[in-house]
Amino acid sequence: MSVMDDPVRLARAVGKWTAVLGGVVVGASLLGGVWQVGVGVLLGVLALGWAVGFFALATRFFQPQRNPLFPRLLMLSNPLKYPLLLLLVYLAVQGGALMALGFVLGIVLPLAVITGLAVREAVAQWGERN
Amino acid sequence: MTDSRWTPSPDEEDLRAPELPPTPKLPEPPRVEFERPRLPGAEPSPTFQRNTRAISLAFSIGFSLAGPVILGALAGYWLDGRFGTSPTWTMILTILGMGAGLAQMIRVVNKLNQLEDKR
Repeated sequence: MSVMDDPVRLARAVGKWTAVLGGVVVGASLLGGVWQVGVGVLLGVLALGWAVGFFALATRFFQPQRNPLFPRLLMLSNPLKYPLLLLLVYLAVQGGALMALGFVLGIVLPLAVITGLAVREAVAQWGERN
Repeated sequence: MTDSRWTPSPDEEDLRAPELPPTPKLPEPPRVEFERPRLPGAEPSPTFQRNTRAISLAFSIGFSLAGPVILGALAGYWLDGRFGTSPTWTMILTILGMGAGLAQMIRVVNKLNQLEDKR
């Protein structure tokens, strides 16, 4: 089974590579004297982590296989998810344009890691076939 | 000094009312219950009952989850306006409201799961 087919392995891989790349970006921003970008990256990663983590938490507690009300409960629980996201966005915006840029980078980073893993997997499968 | 209280003379003793016999214990009255005649079609259909229950559940969950967050945010906004500390109290109380909402969510889900187990 490939990484893309196993959610647990995928989550671990994305977590590991996001931490590594995020650390590199934060370190580079500190060394470059633009610490606002680093803080923005941390806020962005935190925002996406909270959104994904909230879904994982809701799935764990709501137990969709047992609870037919799962879609409705998930929708109703959104008021708990968005305030923290809005607070993080507010903090990022308060830091100015550089921090907002870092925030966008932080949001994009885990998604880029998933894309990278998918491309790597596709290339590996293509190599096996040929 | 003479005693003004009336005391029956021996002749008047006979005029006194005789002692009443004790009241017999009466049996309990029969209990009559009236039931309103039901009009045909007045009973809500199972679909209506199910939908009503679902709507009430949705409303109660929605309010119980969103309520603490909204209340926290409003209270924080009011405190910030009063003490001029914007946005510290709004943030703190909103996050506290989220925590309370999460706890409430877990409680509601546990209750729903218990109801599901009973079925």
